[in-house]
Amino acid sequence: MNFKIKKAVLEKDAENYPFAQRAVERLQCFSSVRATDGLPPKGDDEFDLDKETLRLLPFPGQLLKPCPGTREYLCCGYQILNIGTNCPLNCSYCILQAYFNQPSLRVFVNVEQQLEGIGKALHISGRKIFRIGTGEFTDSLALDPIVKWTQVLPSFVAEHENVVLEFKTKTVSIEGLLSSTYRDRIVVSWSLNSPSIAATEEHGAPSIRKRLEAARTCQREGFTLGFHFDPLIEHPSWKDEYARTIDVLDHFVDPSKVIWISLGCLRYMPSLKGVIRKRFPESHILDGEFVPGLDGKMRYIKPVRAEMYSFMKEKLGQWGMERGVYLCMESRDVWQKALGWSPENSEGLSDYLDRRAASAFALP
Amino acid sequence: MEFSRGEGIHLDLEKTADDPGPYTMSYGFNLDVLCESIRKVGLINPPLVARNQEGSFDVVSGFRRILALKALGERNAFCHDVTSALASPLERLLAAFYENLATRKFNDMEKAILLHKLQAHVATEEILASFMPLLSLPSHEGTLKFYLKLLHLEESVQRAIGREEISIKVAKALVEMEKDSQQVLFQWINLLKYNFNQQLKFIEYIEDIRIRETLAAPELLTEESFLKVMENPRLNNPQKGKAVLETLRLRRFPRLAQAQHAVESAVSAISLPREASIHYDPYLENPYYRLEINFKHGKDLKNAISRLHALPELEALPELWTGR
Repeated sequence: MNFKIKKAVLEKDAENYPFAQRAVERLQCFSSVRATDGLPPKGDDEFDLDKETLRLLPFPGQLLKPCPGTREYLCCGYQILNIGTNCPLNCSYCILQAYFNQPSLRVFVNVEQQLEGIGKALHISGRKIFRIGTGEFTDSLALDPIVKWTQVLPSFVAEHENVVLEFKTKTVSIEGLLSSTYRDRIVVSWSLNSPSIAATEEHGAPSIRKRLEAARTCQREGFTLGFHFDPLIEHPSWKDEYARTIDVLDHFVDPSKVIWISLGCLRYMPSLKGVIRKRFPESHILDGEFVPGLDGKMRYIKPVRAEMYSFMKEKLGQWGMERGVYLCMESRDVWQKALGWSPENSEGLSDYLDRRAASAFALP
Repeated sequence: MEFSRGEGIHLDLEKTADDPGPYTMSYGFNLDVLCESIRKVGLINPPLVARNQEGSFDVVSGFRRILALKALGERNAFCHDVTSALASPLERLLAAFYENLATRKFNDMEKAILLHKLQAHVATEEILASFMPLLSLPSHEGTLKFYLKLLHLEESVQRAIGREEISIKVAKALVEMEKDSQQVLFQWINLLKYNFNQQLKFIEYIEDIRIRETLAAPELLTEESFLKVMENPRLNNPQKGKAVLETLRLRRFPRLAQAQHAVESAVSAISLPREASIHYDPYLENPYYRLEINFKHGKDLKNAISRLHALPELEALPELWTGR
């Protein structure tokens, strides 16, 4: 692990969960655990995200929810399995900095109990495929050495034939995955960027090369891979920079075993700008021409987005990824301009990715 | 803390300092109304004073009343001596604070002064937990630090904050800047009499350009394009203010501004019927134009549509962003 957990806290009602007890056993070798009354911590500083404290707690709500897409842009119909919030990495652009009002790394210890109910709901839904991911509100694998999600989730996937589970990460914490016997309907995805953005903006994350070495290991071990170039950031020589990443990708990964690659240009809630300026005063990620999008988030002006997507599509096509490249939360006209085609609506995009999954995993 | 009014005394105003002393927190006030009140009905509530180590009196509460009496030429003022009743400096400070809190709203400089004074007597944790909520501030150490930083700003900036002439969001940006930039930006905001929204835009553009181009505000604003605006005798002050903001916007958003200009030109070149207007998303994110027609009855609408239909230049209206 490339980061330090200085303090671990077992919050009220968490101690009875086996998941929490196992995590505590692993934690005791390098940090302290104490029970609390469950009160939220008093924030000393509104910009201190307290990434060195791990809190284990049960989540009171539904753990599985559809991705909060908006009507104005095409959404892929992903389902988010909320296994925890916040992330030990410290990417300057991370939307979570302004998304959650509670600091610390939070891991939900009642995942196993909820999975039972989720499984029943998925079974009776009649839907052919559920693409589920755990990497929206946290990194899917960053805390896996402690909490071992990879010991819990793959067996759930094995028991539910209409589930495809994606672990989305920037880390190289793949030991848990490799030691698992499950491969079917599991996608291991890496979030990629240009080498210079990875080095200057993705603090605490392994280099692109290291991520792709880990991807190669997973691919050799039989895992299906995915990649996410999100956020694409307009920066000096961005074309050369992103082309370099695709060169490294070419060196380590066989494109024929890649299920999908998403592209998304940097976008942020307006409130994030102040947080980025405060936490990363040297960052240049906000240099571009951002305008309010139809969903209220700030986005690059359309021609910039279209040019970046179009460039990436071409390069990824040259690499061998002719199909499976899609845009995350984009408008139909940008799809059309950049990729030369467009799903009619979010359902169309969802169907497209379901078909990719069906083809990759030989689903009916 | 139980309050006792203490002993009544006649305070010699000539021997009373004009500064607020260790307990009071009034800042950025206007004495005119208070003077008028005292002139009309006299001093209704006597100030509270306490003897200090030098033997003279510090004002505990009623600093503005003392200044008003002085301005009215009074030589002495009836006050309550609370030296014994409020024995410690903290008790006196709290008496001043709670008296004000119950009767008026603090401006941001007054909040800063109070927080600074409290720091001498109260632990930071207690300030955060007990006093900041009373000042309608979040209990964050960052917020406390920001308010304390306000006291390091130039006096003129502090005055403007006290009078609520510049927004607290702008003050937040100013406290993080180099002194040179701080002064230059404040001078421009002051000179151009920007409202709060304009101040924020102005600061945001300049900060964005500073980071992107590694160009500090004093250098940027002495560029010819800005000097030209400021020296243009045909522009009045509000027009200069708008022109400066537009110059900054063009610099910050060159491609967007160019595209907006192209669309605006194309739309304005169409001789639309008076009752029709064409609208579009100013950020050109929504790909659609919107046509609006005002009409009283169907015949008017048909008439407007047929005149629109006959307009050849409508076909030249380009798709947004493509120019085609």
